[in-house]
Order: sequence, then C-alpha cells, then structure tokens
Amino acid sequence: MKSRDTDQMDNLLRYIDAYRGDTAVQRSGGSDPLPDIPQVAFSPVLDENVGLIQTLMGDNFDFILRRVRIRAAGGRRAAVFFLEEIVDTVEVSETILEPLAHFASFEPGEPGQDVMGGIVESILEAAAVAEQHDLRGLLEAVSTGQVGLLVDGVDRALSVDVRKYVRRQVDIPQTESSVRGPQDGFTEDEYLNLALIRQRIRSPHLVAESLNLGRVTSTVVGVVYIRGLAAPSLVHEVKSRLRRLDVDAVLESGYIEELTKDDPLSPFPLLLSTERPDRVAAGVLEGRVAIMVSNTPFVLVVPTEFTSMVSSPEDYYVGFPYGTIIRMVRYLALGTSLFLPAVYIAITTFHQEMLPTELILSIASAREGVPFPSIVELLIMEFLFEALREAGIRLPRPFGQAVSIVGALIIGQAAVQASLVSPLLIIVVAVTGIASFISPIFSMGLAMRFLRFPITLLGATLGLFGVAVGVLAILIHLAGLRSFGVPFMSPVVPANLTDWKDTFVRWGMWTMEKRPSQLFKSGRRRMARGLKPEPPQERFRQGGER
Amino acid sequence: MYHKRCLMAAAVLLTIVFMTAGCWDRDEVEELGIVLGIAIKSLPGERVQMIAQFANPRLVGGAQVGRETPGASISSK
Repeated sequence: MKSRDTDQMDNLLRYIDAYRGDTAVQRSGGSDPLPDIPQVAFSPVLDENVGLIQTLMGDNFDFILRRVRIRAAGGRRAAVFFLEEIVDTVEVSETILEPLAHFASFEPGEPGQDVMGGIVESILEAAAVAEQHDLRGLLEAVSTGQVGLLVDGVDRALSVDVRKYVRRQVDIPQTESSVRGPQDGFTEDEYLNLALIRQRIRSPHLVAESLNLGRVTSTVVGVVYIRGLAAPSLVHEVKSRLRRLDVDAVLESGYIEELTKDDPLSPFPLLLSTERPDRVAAGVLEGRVAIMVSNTPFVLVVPTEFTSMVSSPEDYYVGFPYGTIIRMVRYLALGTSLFLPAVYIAITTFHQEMLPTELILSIASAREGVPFPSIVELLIMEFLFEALREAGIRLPRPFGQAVSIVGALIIGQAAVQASLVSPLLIIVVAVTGIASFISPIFSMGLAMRFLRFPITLLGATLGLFGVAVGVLAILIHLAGLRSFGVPFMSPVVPANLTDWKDTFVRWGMWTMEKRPSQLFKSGRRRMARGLKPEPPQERFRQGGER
Repeated sequence: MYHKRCLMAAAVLLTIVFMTAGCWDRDEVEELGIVLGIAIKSLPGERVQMIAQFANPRLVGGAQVGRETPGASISSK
C-alpha cells in the first residue's frame, strides 16, 4: 500500500491550519488568498480519511456524513458524505445507501477484483460514477453536488453524481415574448437549457462541450454548436477566449460578453444574448456557436451581426410580407429612437426655415412661457422618462401602479401646466421612448438609449450638421466592428447582395436557399432548389375521379 | 508623430466647426419675429411706407386662433 509522503502531509497540515484560521494562510503564488487544496493521496485507513473530511467540511450545516457497512464485502466499513440540498437525497438512499447495505454479494464474483471495482460494477445504481485519487478532486466533486464514498482498506474514493440543483420551471421568456412561435424560454439551469436546444435539433451532430470558469465559482459554461456547420476555427476561437478568462466568478453571461467582446469599448453588443431557445437553435443551424452559462437564462450566440439584432424569430413564422413590414417598422423605429430628439432640437433651434409656417407658429406658441432653452427642456424630460423606466423595473410590484400614475401625471400634465416643458416636446420624448422599446434584443435597446444622448447634444450644439456628424461617426464605428472576427455589418458591408434577402427585408422562405456567406465559404445550400410552392395541375374532387 | 498631427488636425477642425456652426447662432423658436405679411405703400414725395405683420406666438396657434388679432403690425416711414 502506498503511504503519503511527508511533503504532502506537511502541505495538508498547513492547509488545515489555514482552514481553521489558526495561522495566516500560506500564500502559494503572489497575493492570491485562496489556499490551494493540497493534492494528498488517501490513506487506506477509513477513519483517517473520514477524520480529514470531517475537519475540512464538517462545519457546513448542510454536510451529511453517513457510515455504512458494505454487506456484499463482508460488512466492510464505508462512509458516504454529501452536501444535503444540492443532491437528490432520495436517489442517494435508493441508489447508494440501500444497495450498499442490502446487496448480498458482488454478482459475478471475480476473484481478484478490487472492492472498489465491485462496488462500481454491481452495487451502485447511479449512472455517473467516477474514481477520485486525491483529496482535492474529491472535495471539488462534493462541492458541486456529488456524493463521496470512502471504503475501508482502499486508498481511493468514489464520487457519484446525483446532484439536484434548485431549478425553475420553463417559463415564457420575459424580455422577448412573441405572439406566433414557441412560448418557452431558457431558465437558470444549463442542463434544462441544453434540453430545450436538443429537443429542437435532434441530431447527433449537435455538440455541447463544457468548461468550468471562475476560480471560486467553477461555473459551468457550455459551448454548443453543430459539428460540420460551425467552422472549426470559430469553435477553437470561442473556446480559447473562454479559457483565457481567469476570474473569480462568472455570475451571468454578461461577464463573458464583456470579457470576450472584440471591441470592449463599443456601445453595441457584439454577442447576441437571448432568452429564446428557437433563436439559439436558428443561430446554431447557421453555423454559429452558443455559449450557455449556468445560472442565467441569457444564452450568448456568436458571431452575430447588426441585422440579426434587429430581427426577431417571429419574422420567420408570420410569412414574408408581414415579416418584411415588421422589420422595416423596426428599422424606422430604431432611427427614430436614436435621432428624433436631436433632429427636433436641431430644426427648431437652427433651421426654422425648414418648417412650414403653421408648424413653426404652433411650436412657438407651445413654447411660450417655457423659461428654458429647448435642449434643457428635452434633457429634463429625458431624465424623467429614464428615471420612471428604471423605477418601473426596480420597484417592488405593488408600488408599480402608484409610480405609473404619478409618472403619467407628472409627465403628461403637471409639467406642461407648470410651463416646465412644452407639450410638443412631450410628444417627442414619448415617441422616442416607445420607439426605443421596439428592439427585439434588450442589449441593443440599451445601446440605442445610450447613443441617443451624445447625438442629441451634437444636434443641440451644431444643428443638423452635428446630427450628420453623429450619424457618420456611428456608421464608421459600426463598419469597423467585428464579432468574433466576422464583420458586424455583414452582409450589408462587406456587401453580399444575395444575402440581403434576409437583412432589412425578410424575403420568401424558398428564396433563402443558402446559409449566410459571412460564415460559409462553401457548402452554403440549406434547402433543395425550387421549393416555391405551386398549385397542382389537377383538381381533387371526391367522386369525380375517372 | 503621426498621432500628434492627427490630434492637432482634429482640434483645429473642431474649433472651426464650433466657430462656424456652433450654438452661438442658436435661436429659440419663440424668440423669432415671424413676419406673416408685408405691405409697401407709396407716400407723396419720394417716400414709401412699409408695414410688416408679425405673429404673436401667445395668440397664434392652438385653440386661440381667431379669438384676437393673431399678430401685431409695425409700420415705419
């Protein structure tokens, strides 16, 4: 039997001291205060191992250690331990404790077989069992919700995966609801989320790899793609960008979004974050890679383009004329939410000659009595609007109505009657506000909200010239952006005219025969030729057949 | 060096932009004198009289149209 060497023992003792807070933590490298759990081999004596585990984990109030005797191994002593609320306790007793206590013998009693092998092969009924050779591996496994099993006389341990994390039921996606189309949304459980994808793409080519990110949290991050459709170099790039993230915690996919963006300073989201499984499935089918992060319903899809941020899965479900019109409305609203306040200010304060006389007179009479310049007026209203919006999100539900009443009164009436703002400006702010809600992707809406303010200031200082400068600046910025190496404005710029069928418009399903050119060099055909439906040559009538 | 020159150029351009198109020529709508009509009348002895009608924003527009004279006339000889 192998015994622990003294070096390991020293490390262990130091670690235990540090764990109990008896001494200052031994800092291994640099200033990282997280102590490394020493890689210590197990002792063949059960009580020694159990004592160690008790010392290191026994203080947790959800820690359970249960000693059993293995009947099949002649009453040999063993210990089962786990953290209560993240494992399925019913399964623990049914698949581990009961078989250990009741099974009379190892079924095909191989003479030379190790006790451990016998337990794995013929006693444990759980599906996923792994052998652990050192303390660190076992502790890490137990912290993720596995059950540890130590047997007397064996210097190895088993970890049995019977974890049961707290999970929410599948619900309607909160930020991306639709009328036509599936109503299920992702949840916080990455396994459930993967199931939602797998139910849509029932193919053996769908690959879901996983990484553990976060030095402390060890968060599960899934990389999902279709082998053959996703470019291998892209998958490699995604994985290497993820592996690079050496951070304490990954609590939401926003962490990953911000740390892997091609241009971290850009206000535009370069990773599509969505709550809709059908959207992720569609992306994966176009050769994109989905990044699922445990504990958040927001899944990232990369690479992504500007046009896909302005489209909704529903565009593809409602027929192409409606899809096209809805998309055009969306682009119009996008422009409105960005530029309307700026254009209003620019025209009314610099270019009054552009307005018809009646309009300018009514604006003038509306502004009569308002003491502030238009820009101050606008900023007051925008601030009020944004504050109301934020309050509406953060407030506890019961207060919601009170806020909306107060908000409607303040914005709608009192402000006008008190001559703080002109009624026309309220229309401008309200239209802008409504238009900014139209973005199907929440993070895109945020970008528009943010960009509106610099553009408005430009319009207020330089007039329409300033607005034009702002438009140019945004366009130049957009044209230079990349999402995981793919130009963000493709297929608009660099232009691929055949792909424009699915950008500003959504053309007939039968015309979109090819996969996106920015992701595929060859093998682009995704449907057979000539799928445009036609009426049949003959009429089908019961009884009229010859 | 190239970087520095770019910055200089940007600064100069910005100055020019603000000097030529900046907010110094900003006018709020209600401060404009909007001329609705002009009449020119010839007077005896090489003289003309010009009458301009300005809109009075307090009275024009909205529900107030037509209640009072929607404008003031100023004449000069």
